[in-house]
Amino acid sequence: MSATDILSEATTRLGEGTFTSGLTIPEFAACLHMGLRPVALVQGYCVMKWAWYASGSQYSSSSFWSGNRSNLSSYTCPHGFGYRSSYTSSGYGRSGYQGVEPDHRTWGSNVDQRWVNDAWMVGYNAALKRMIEEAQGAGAHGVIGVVDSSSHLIDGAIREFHMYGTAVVVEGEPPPPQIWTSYLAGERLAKLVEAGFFPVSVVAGLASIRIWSVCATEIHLEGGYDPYGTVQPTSEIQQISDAEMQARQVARDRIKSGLGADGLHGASFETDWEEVGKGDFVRSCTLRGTRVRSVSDAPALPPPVPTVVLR
Amino acid sequence: MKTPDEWTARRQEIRDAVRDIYGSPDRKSAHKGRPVTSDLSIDEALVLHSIGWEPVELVCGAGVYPIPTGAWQWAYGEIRYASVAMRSAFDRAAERIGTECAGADAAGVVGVRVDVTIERHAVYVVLVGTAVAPSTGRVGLGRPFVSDLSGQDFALLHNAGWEPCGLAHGAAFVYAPRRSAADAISQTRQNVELTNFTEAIYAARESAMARAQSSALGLGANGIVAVQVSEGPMDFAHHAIGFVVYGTAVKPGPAGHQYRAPQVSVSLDDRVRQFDVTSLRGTSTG
Repeated sequence: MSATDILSEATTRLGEGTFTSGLTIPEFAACLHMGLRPVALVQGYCVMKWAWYASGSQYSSSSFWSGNRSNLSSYTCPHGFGYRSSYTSSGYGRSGYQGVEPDHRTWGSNVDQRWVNDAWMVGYNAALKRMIEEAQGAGAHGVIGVVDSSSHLIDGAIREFHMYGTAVVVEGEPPPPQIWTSYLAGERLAKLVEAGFFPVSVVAGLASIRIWSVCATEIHLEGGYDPYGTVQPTSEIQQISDAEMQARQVARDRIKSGLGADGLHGASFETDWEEVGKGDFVRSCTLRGTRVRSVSDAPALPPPVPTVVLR
Repeated sequence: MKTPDEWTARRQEIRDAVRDIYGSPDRKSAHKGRPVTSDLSIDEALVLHSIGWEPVELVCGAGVYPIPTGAWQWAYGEIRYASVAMRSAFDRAAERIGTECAGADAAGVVGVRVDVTIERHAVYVVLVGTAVAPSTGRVGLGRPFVSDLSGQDFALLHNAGWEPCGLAHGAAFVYAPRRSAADAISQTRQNVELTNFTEAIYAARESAMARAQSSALGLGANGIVAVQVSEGPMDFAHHAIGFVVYGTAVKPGPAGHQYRAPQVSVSLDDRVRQFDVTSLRGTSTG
C-alpha cells in the first residue's frame, strides 16, 4: 500500500461508527466529563536511517580535521603541543614535534552533531504528522495521551519512530484550524486546564554531543598518570562535565527556541552514552514535553493542608 | 463531587480554552519575556502556584572527576581519591546548577534529580531540576538554593516557615582489609561476623555523615531533611565499601517554625502497603 492508500484505508476504517481509544478507564471517564469525546486510536510511524558521517556532517570536510571546527567548546593540550596540519615529505605531524608520541591527542572538541538532530526531527515530525492526518481523517479536534517511542530497529543506524494517541472531539465546537496534541490525558489534562493552560502540541528535541577527547580527558578516563606531570590526577574532567551540561542545555534550548511565548510542561530527559572508539564518545539527550499556552489567569488553589490519614 | 452545573461550566471552560489557543496568541505564559520550561508534574505546578511560586526554567549541573589507577587497590583505611572526587563532583554540579538558576533569574531549584555514577576511573554527578521563583519576582532573595524536594514537599516546608539552603552531601569510601591468613583459616568452618566488613562500613558511615553535616553547616543550614543513603561494596571493587548520603539542607525562615495543625481524616479505601522498604535507598517513595 502507498502512503495515501494507508491514510484512506485508515480513514474508512475509522469512519465505521465504533470508536477506539488508548485511554485507561479513569482517563476515559475524565475525558467525557471534560466534554472530550474519544473518536479513534490514531497512530503514526516513520523509520529513519542516519549516519554520523552522513551529508550535513562537518566530519566529511577536511577543514574540520585541520582545526576549523564548529563546536560547542574546544580543548587544547595542556602540555603545549600544538596541532599539526601540514603534510610534509616525512608525513603528518612529525617534524617539529619531537618528543610527542604520534597518537598524543593535541586537540579536543565537543561537537553538537546537528545533522543527527535534524534526522531525528524528520522522523519524529513525520510520525507526528501522520498521526495528526489520521486524526483529521476521523474528524477529531485534538489528540490526547500521546505515547511516542523511538527505538533501534535492525541495527544501530536504523530507528523506528512510533507515535500513538487518542483522537478526541470537543463536543459542541467546530474543528479548530489545527489539531492540538498532548502527552497528557485524563485527570492531568483536566488539572492543566484548571491551572489556566491548554496543550498546543507535543514537542521533542535531541542533542547529540560528540566528544573528541583531548589528551587530558583521555588520561583521566583511563585512570592514568600524566607522564609529563601536567594533568593532575584530582583535577576535574572538564570536557566530560561540559558535555553532560551541553547535551541537556542544547536539547532544552532547541525546544525553547520554537516555543514562542508558550511554555514547556512536564519535560523529561532521556540520556544515552556511547563509546564510538578510544577517546571518542557520544552523549545524547532527548527532551520531550507538552507545549502549553496560557489561556486564562487561573486563581491559585488554597494552600495545601497537611492531613493525617487513619486507615 | 462537582454538581451538573459545575460540569457544564467546566465543559464551557474547555471549549473556551480550545478557542483561545488559536484565538489569542498575545497572552504570555512567559517568565519576564522568556518561555518557561519545566519538568514538574501538573500537581507540582499547581501546588507551587498555591503558595505564590512558579516554574521558570529547566536547569542542570554536572561535575565529573577522575579517580586514578591504583586508588581502589587492596590496603587499609580510606580511599581518599574516591572520597575527594565524589565531593568535588557534587560541589561542582551544585555550583553549576545554581549558576544556571541565577542566570534564569530564579530563586532556587526544586525537584532536583541527583544522578550519581561511580566508575573505576571517574565519578559523575548530574543534577537536573526546575528553577522556580515567587510570582512577584526574586527581589530580596539570597543565593539560589538547590533542593531535591518535590514541589509538594517544598510547599509544605515553605508553609511551615522553613527554607531550603542547598544540597548537603557526604561520601566516604573505605577498604575492608583482608583477614589475616590465620583468621581466614580458623574461620573456614565457623559462622562468625566478618568484623573487617562491619568496621569498614561503620568507618565509611561516620566519615560520610560527618561530611554531610559539615556541608550543611557550610550552607548556613541547621538540619538536613529527606536524606538519601546508598551504601555497599563497589561493583568493580568488592573490598571497597562506599557510603554516599545527600539531602536538602534546611533552616527556619525569619518568622521561625509555623505550626500547622494537620487535619485528621479516615480513609475508606482498602488497606494499602504502608511502608516501602526501598524508600531509604531512594529508589522509590511510593
